[in-house]
Amino acid sequence: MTTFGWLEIIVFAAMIGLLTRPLGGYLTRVYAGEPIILQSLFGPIEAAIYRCAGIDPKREQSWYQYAISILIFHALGIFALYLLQRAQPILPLNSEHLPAVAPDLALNTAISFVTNTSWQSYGGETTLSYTSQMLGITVQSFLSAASGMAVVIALIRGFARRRADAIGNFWGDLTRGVLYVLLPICIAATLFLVAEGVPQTLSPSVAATTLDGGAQIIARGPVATQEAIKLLSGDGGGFFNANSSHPFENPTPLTNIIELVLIFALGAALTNCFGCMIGSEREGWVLLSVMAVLFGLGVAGLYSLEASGNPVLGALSVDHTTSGLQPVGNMEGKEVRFGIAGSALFAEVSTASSDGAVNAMHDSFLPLSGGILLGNMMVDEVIIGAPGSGLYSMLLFCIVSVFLAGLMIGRTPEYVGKKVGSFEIKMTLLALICVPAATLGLTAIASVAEAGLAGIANAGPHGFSEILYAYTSAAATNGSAFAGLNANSAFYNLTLGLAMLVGRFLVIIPVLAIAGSLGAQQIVPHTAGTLPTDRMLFVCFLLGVIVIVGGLTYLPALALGPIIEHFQIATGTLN
Amino acid sequence: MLDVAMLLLIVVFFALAIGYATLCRRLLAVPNEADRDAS
Repeated sequence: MTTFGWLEIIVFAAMIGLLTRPLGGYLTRVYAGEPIILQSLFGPIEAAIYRCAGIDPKREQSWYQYAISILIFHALGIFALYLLQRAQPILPLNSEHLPAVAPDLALNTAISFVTNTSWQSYGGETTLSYTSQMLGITVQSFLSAASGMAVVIALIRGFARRRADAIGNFWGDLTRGVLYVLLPICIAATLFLVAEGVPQTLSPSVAATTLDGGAQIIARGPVATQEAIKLLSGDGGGFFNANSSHPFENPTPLTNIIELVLIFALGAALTNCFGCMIGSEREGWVLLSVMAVLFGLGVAGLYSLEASGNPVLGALSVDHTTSGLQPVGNMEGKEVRFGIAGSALFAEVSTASSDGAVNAMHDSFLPLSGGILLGNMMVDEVIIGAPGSGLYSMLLFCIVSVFLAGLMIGRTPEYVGKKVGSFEIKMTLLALICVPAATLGLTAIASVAEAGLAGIANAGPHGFSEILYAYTSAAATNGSAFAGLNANSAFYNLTLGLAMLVGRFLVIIPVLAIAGSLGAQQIVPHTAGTLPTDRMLFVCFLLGVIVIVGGLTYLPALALGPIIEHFQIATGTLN
Repeated sequence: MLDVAMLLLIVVFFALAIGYATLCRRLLAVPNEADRDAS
């Protein structure tokens, strides 16, 4: 570990801390429909969209209408993206003459980007034309992120409103999220990335001759625009197969840290938006504190593990010392430009945030590091998470926490002035149970099915980790890959697609039901018996609930994969 | 043929999801004895 490495992590955390309040305040104004500085620029576009689509954004919807709007909108999104990939050969901007994407892969990819997962069973530059990347992948990255933010805003309105039978208008929230939040930040980020050397062109690939006379095709394309929304949306699907380790996606250490800020910015800011909308910013800071503690533990663990090097290589007398030509630690699968700290930080941010972009191969991390990455996803992406989905998952854990506290002291649980009744608890448990059910159930099937075992590259616990990682990543809508697993088969494409659908939509429905139920309630006055949720006590309690619920659910599966592999390495029994 | 099968899978999933949302709405409409007692 180096001072510079820790400094990089601290600078990143400080940047997020500094951005949270101004961006959170901005989000609050956007979703309250208040006039904002960009109104004069995007206002006419917004009005035109409403006019063309026949939408009245002031006409609010019940939670049920809101949920049905989301389901229908995203079902149509999957159809559109599927058909786009299948029609790719007859559409323009296909200079590499790429064939139609296979049906099962096209379905998996369509589900993946509509659910904000961005699991990729394909290599972008060898599978998708520019049209598919721009009109399909990029568009869905915008829409899925805006939809996630709309859901959490609806849930916050449920907490903030009293005796209301509506939670907002999905179409209005979606449009404002795209126009006033995602688009302006992406325009600025795209210009920055282009300035740093990321390509933005519709010209075809370049044929180059290497120094030793060999022929090489260098892929390029409209990378910068996709890169910006890939990071900001919590989507993470790379233009290239190598994702953010490719020099055209992430050319410099400066782009590396700015990309990390883009990944975390909205998720962190939404906690402040929550505080502002319910009238107590402290509540938002409490949630961000819990996220910060979990993030800090994860990144410290990852950095120290990876920096200490691979003991198997150490036993073979491989030189682990720092020199001008090599940094110390486990550099296998890592990009030399970023080193251990830059890779560990990126991996932590990517798995904690639900983004899923990678700048190093997670399969090459040490077993316990792989376990940390799995753990980040297994706690339902509550550590910042993707825009929207991270915060609503955290709020579900808050409901569980006040419920458990209520059981201890024998009072009806309350959270930010709303009573948590049996309906809210039932919906919370339905939302929290479907991700582990999909992850563990499908992992179990793939671990014994011939089609599942055919995809793994390693035997033993590492092979199991590869399968577990894939389904965890899909159900938690993360999308990062462990590598080592050949997931482009009908079995994996369909089962991973199912995991993504369950992990996204079967969580959103109960979350919106909770929003509707809470919104219809009166605000409960704060009394001496109310559990204070804006203090350190609640931070610790919430942390305990997240760790225990996550740990109890997944510990047996982790024990079969990364934990047993760690002990095999420690005892020298790894084959 | 495969295209139709793939798109049918999506139709089935979203039909089930809409049914799931409808069930949640019915559950919300049912007054709960435990909640009444608690209040």
